[in-house]
Amino acid sequence: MVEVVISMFIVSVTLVASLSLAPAMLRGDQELADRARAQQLGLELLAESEAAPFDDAPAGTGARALGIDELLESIGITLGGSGSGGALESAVATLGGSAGGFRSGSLGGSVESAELNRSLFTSISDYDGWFASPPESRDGTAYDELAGWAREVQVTFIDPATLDESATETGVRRVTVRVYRGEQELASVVSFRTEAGWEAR
Amino acid sequence: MKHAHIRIYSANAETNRRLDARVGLGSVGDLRATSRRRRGNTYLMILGVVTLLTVTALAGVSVLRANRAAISLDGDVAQARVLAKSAMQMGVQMAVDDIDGWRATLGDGAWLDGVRVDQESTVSLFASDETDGDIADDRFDEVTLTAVGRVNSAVQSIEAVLEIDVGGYETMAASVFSDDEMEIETDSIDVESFLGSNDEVEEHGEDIDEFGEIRIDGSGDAVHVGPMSLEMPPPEIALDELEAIGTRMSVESFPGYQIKNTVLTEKSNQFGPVNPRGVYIIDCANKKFVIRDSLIRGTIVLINPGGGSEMRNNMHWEPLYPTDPALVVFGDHEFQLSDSDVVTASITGAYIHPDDEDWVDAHDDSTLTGFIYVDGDLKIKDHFRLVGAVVVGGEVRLEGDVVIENGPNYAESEVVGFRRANGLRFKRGAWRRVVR
Repeated sequence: MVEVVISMFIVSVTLVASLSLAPAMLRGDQELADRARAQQLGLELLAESEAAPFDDAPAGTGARALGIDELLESIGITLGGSGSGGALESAVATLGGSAGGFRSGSLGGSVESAELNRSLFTSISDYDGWFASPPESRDGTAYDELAGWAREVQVTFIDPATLDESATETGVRRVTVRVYRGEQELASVVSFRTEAGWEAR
Repeated sequence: MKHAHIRIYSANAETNRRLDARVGLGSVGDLRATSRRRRGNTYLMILGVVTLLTVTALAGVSVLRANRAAISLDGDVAQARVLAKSAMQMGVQMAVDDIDGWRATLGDGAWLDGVRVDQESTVSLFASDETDGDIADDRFDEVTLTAVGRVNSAVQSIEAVLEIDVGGYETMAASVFSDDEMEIETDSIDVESFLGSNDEVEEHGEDIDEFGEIRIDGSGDAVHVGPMSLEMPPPEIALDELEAIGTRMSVESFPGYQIKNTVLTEKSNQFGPVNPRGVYIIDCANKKFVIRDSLIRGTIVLINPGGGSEMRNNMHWEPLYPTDPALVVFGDHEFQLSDSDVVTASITGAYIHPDDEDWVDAHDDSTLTGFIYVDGDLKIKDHFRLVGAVVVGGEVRLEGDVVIENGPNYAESEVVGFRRANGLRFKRGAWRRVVR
């Protein structure tokens, strides 16, 4: 009788442990798949940005390199004013929709538009502050199967000797692409672009 | 065949034992032992099942971990490869940032040695000269770069060859360009390209616009007055490169310190040994040195020319190779040429190598061809006919009749001594992955 009780106890403990492990394993499998996908999404955008010409426009300024006014005008938004964040947000609200846009930089607010996509970008600086949820292709086609995912780009000046950030133009840019699912950062990929390297390619 | 056994118990225990023994049955104690064995087997079976379940679970966890490690490694490898490519770009930037001195300052070996990108990643870059093992010895040698990106345990290395984009100086695109003042004292000047100066230009003649274009500020499509600021060829580099291929001759080898009524080529040289490239370097030792009434196919380099050194009368001159300069003077010089085409009449009795006879017969015209560089001041007095370009490190004064037609575009050519590293570029087809 004692042996039966002990055996039942061991079996129960084992079963409980196994059953509690199973969901974790399933979640782990899902997370692994997500991380692999996130890595690919990051590399995809990084590769795209590497094909963009280098320019000497200041990083950390969002679309300033292209000229945000020109950029917005090209998609039918005329600010007709100083280009403040409020005006931009208003313009965006007029257009509606949620797609890619800039959520950091000198604009003082986020800019999103269904018409704004990366095919309008003309240089590496244009990528700074780019954010899209769900991630989208260069021509603005959203990856619908990735609802809840997001992808953002940061471009900063870098001191080539130390790889530390610099406040001024150095001819070297660090491009960081981060991929999120919900609030969780699943991948972060980094490359460095240089003016001379671009010209030497 | 099964047999049924019926146990009949008596009141006597001994009788019972005998009966049991007779029918082959054990005692009550044996029955208890059998029962224990059965329970033990069940216990072992349960333990086995538990063990199996545990092992299966552990295997699942291990597989999960292995998958995680594999995916993580895949990501690290991809990131390491991107970082290696990035290191290549940074290497080019480091060289361009110190375009005149990078070969000496960066040199062979590590340009970036495990520079940390973040907590998990580093980049390294190594340079070598596969031609002769010394990056610094030749400013046009190719450089092999090996970049290493490291993320955790993932390492990716790539190799590329950096080649030099060689060209000339922008000043060499002019018909005549001077670093110092340019004085135009003629109303008969015809140039196909432009006249330019890094200093002011003074015009005392008339109607020069109709003959050509005077470009002062670099716009190239109008007459301007004002300084340009174009890079001049470094004379010390020109001398180094020409000495490397030329034959040095003493000024004492030239009677009267003149090249006069003669033929000077890579085969004909009555003043000394021939140079297979026709490049002769003459240290004038501050003596007045004159070149006149001769046919020259090659390059003359004059060092330390004395005052009044000049080229005069009838001359036919061209370099052996279009990428060799015709005349390089490290000092002041003058041109005062004749407009008659009777050069061959001047060389009667001169030594001519048999192989040069046909060339001499065919070139009786008084024309200069090629690139001319004068490090000091230059005065062009009369009947100057050139197919090429003149760059002057000092002042230039144009007098008399000047006609300059375009030769090759020397600004885009590789004229020996006047080549410039215009930039760096990755050699096509030279990228490859390596193990390092």
